[in-house]
Amino acid sequence: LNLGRRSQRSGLQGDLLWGLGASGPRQRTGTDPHPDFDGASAFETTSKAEVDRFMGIRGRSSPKSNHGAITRAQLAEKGLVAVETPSDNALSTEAGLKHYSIRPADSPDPNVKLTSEQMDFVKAQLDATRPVIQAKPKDFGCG
Amino acid sequence: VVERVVFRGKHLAVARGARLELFEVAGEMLHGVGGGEAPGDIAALCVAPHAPWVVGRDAEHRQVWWWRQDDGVRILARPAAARDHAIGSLVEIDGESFVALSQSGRLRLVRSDGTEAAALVIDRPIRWACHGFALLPGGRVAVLGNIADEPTDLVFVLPARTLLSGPDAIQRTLVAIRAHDPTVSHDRALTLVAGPGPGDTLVVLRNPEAEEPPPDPDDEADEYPDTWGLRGAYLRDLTSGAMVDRTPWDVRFAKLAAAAATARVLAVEVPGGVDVRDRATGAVEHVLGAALDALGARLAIPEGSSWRVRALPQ
Repeated sequence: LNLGRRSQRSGLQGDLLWGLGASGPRQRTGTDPHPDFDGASAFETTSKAEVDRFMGIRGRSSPKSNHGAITRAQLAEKGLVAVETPSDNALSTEAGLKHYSIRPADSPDPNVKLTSEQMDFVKAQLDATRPVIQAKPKDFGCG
Repeated sequence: VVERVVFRGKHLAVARGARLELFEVAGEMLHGVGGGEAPGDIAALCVAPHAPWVVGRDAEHRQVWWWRQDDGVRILARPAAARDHAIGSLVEIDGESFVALSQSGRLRLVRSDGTEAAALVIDRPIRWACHGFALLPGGRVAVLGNIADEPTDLVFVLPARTLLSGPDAIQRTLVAIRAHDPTVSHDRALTLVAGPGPGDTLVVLRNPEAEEPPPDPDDEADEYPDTWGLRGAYLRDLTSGAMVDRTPWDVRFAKLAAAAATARVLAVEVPGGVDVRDRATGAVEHVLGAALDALGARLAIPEGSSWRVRALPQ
């Protein structure tokens, strides 16, 4: 696998929260036409087999695009928390991966809409978090 | 108080706080024809090109409303659940304006008499949030939005009347895009806007930020989309699908900003006005306070308490 040095160091066995872009999970803020009122989306993998399934689904649409993953420890350092929420993305419905919403640690209830200020906070904290892994579906033979 | 201005066809709408004012083109000027109060501070609005009809919402998406000159404000949608919210916009199909309401897995097209013309499925198999539309030449429309959980926005082009062809019209297109169907013009980027170009072309302005790094050296160039890595603008021929112009341009624009191109210039709404770039020289003029009517390829420029119309160079 050509995952780069950071990903080789970190491995794929741990608990990882993947975003669907190179930077990892990202927050759509209140200026977006469709804000993430419940928090930034992430999909969890806990094993190489789950990463394979993640990349298999992503390879259908974005085989050349990098995907970034971060850890819960990184979230905690930034005052954030990931809470499980439903998703009808194929990553959940077909690959069986759990979907999480990343929110301020002091507002974990996903049924409570984040305010514009809270969405800005989540975005700023995630933007300041470097992914521990970046990988492309094609690195896994997908797409 | 933040001012928002939208210019489409005959009409220009100005929002300041909750106050809405409507102007209408008369020769080279726009004159006020009415106004009203929205239910709250206006965070987004659209105006119909041929009718005194405005759709807007507040910043928290608590309600989407329309305002019409003859009957004032009407609430169209409120959140149905804690994790639900609506997006409202306007789209023209064969010269008729429809309100488009994206909420709870449906994109509903509503006529001016309040009747529902269509209810398109936008939750299965792919969950889609429809942000808005840009009218294009040849009865086409660019549809802007995002697939759930994706950080990037997606734009694709349809014949506008396809939106009335059945409840699966959007899903058919999304599935075709996922299957890499080359006949569907589309693009993805963290920020992108679209509009009409000269002749039978589409102009797209895009900013992929760090999502599109240089291709791997062991990959073939044609394995990547022809837009890969471009921050700036391009024109695409809507008949052949060929990219006919590619302009790197570090311009700062917001989502749903109006954009247009003529044979001579590229134009896009930016904070505080419109940037107009000469396609031959690259010189950029910032037209302070202006709004862009993309399909009409013209600007509205504030002049005292009114507005003056200025055509883009053709």
